[in-house]
Amino acid sequence: MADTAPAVSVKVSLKEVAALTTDRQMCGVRFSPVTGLMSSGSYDATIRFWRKVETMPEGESVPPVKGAKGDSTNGWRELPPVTGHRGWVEGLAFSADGSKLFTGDTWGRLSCRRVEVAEGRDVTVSPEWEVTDAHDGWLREVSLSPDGGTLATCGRDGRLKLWNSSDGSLRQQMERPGRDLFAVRFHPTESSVVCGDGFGEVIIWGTDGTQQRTFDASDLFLEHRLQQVGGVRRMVFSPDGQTLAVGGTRPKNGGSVQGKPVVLLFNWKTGDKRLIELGSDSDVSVQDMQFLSEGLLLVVTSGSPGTGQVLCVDPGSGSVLLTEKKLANCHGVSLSSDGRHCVVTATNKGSNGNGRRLDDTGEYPGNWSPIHLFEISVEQMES
Amino acid sequence: MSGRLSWCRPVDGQEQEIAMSMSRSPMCTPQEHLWSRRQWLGKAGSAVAATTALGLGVADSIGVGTGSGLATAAFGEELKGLDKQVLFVWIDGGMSQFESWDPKPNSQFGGPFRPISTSLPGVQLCELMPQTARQMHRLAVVRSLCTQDNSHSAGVPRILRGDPKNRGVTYPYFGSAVAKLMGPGSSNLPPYVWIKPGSGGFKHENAGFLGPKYGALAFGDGLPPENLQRPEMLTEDAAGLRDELRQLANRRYLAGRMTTNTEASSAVFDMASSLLARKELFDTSLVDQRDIDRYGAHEFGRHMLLGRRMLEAGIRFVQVTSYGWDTHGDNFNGHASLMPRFDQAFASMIEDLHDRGMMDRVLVVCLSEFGRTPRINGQSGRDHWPESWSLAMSGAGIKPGVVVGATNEKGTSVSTEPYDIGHLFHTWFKALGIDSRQTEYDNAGQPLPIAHDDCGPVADVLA
Repeated sequence: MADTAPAVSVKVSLKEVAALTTDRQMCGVRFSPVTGLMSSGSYDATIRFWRKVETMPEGESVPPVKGAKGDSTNGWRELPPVTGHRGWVEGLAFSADGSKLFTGDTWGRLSCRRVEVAEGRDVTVSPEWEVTDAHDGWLREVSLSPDGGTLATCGRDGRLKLWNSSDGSLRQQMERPGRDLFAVRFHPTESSVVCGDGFGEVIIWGTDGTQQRTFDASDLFLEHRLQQVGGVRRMVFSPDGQTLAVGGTRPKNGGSVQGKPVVLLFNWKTGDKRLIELGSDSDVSVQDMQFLSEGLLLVVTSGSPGTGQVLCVDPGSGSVLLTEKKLANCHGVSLSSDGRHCVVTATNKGSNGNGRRLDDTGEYPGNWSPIHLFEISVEQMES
Repeated sequence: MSGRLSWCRPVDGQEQEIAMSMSRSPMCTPQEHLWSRRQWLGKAGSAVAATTALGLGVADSIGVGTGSGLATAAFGEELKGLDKQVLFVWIDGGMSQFESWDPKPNSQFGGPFRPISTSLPGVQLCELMPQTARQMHRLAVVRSLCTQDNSHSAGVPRILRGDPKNRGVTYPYFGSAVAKLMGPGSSNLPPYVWIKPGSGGFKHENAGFLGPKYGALAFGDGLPPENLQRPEMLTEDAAGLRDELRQLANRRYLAGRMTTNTEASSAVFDMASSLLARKELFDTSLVDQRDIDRYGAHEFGRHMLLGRRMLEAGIRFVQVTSYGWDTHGDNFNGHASLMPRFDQAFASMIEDLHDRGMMDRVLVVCLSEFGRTPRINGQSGRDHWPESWSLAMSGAGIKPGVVVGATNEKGTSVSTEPYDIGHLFHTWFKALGIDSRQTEYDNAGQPLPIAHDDCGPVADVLA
């Protein structure tokens, strides 16, 4: 893993540049390659878009963000939600040029939408193709091949499917009966696709459907009473493809799951593994990760309600270069196309509580996902 | 002690016993439950006569002289229930109603799962229970539970004791109540067994004021009590002689002493003896592999299958508990893992009880201490929610294929008549043939209702 390690004495910092309010919980936000656009799937089966504008149209109000001073949105405005899904929209990926958005939901539907961005705030989203029963139930993740031609999806039905991204036709199907396939990624330079399951196994297939090998990520799994706890929850390759980062929790128990967030770093060639723990048992689980161009790994975690972390890890040394704990229950992180900004979906404070607690208006409140945008600074210092 | 009854003056044998019971009791007797001597003797006396005349071997079917018994004005109702049994499936920690009996697809709090159709037209369940969906025409689901407690520590006993009005006594769990009211039945096996993960033992505390002998005999991890088997070096005759000696010692000790603990101790010995005679119940080599496959080789599947065998053997009350359902974190993946295993074993049980012709006599109840919040917390969990949740029933005395009550569109409140646990206790007693309005406990002379005074049965689920 030394070949992906950055120079020593690296200082990483995040500066918050915007905080957005939402009215629902989001599954995880993604930047579009088109500058100034991002999107997220939601718990209300919609797809949300945000567009950065230089000037607000006259008369348009700015939604307040609790605790923020002034206009915390910093020019980001939410567009009308896009409907058409069911359940939760957990899978979401943009094409390399940002002209297409692929989304998958927990009822098994896979969709492709054309996204046209005009000057100003105008964004047109139109359906291109759709497969209503792409998976039998929960479609966990959507991933696009490096050349953009193939889309991979995986789901609770134990299937990994490869689709023609231009028309939604099925190209290949691989099965792991009885397994819940949580995460999928294409290798950035080889014809391989990797899939992580609920038992903590990483299966590596060729894009022709042949299984090549497996990585053991069972550190992330626990059988506790009736419950199979944990598993591979997120995977990401380093830009050079030499390291596969696998995230989840090292579970202590089922029910109210507790455990330390863990990243497993696999050497792609040898399969050698390094385990990095990222917090205490109440920090629970890695939710999402992204590699920075410098080879550092940006990680978000969600723990007991109110507990969240944004971390930056040096995969070479295993050291944690940044720990930010101000945000509650972070569920997604995405990098801007220039790599200098990241966006994190978190959860409002006070999201939990037994019994009926009403808000100030006497209504039973739902929770929502604050969206935080940060400017990333990576300074390499002489040791 | 305002409840001390003026008629507790020893006159004849029965009253002597009553007086002894009263003098031992540390409990108060509420004013509203004062009965006249004539009322009490009339009802209890006729019950004694009925039992004697019919030659019933039901242990302690009425409680005169036992310290905490049963007074009833409608003993005939009890007789009808004497062959009834109960399977009580306890999902400890709180099963989510959204991910089970009351899905709210595509609503704010509905979660990720799909609804599926069931064998009952127009009724949907969560997709995580496909096998139970095929048994829905045999089930009665109440979707309008609204109970009082959102903590485990208080909620579990509150639900299991029926949350009656506070009368200064600790009420029995439902299993103890049935053991007391209905006895062991003709099987002569322990009347109240509890199949659970973890440790076993005799759980006398479940019995509350009824006294420890009505506690639960818990089979930890489905295993028989330790040291149940007679050592090989001890012959059957020698064991019998030892038991006679034990009984003799007990009788001598009992003379003039408080009896409940000794009675409980003797009862446990009797239970051990009866189990020893049926040790094949625990012999897993006798279980059909196809049944193991159907119920599942996991903990809950094994325990439910053992529960079925206990019911087949005639045990009056069988509780099967599953732990680990308190899904404050990762609720949806948790239920995605938990529910299919529950579904497999529960549906197999319903199917088997039906196929064996046992549905007419076995009351099946499945519930938790509460449901789970509509709101999804930051850890993708659901918290405790007694405000609007569900349970399922089937079998003896229960109307098959009904859904009673409803919650609103978001599942945040009951939109029809709400039912508390008191209503369910009345319902279950009624289903077992026990008139919960007329039947009362005798807590050492203190008559106590067997279910909450202000509630009644849920008529729509009764056959």
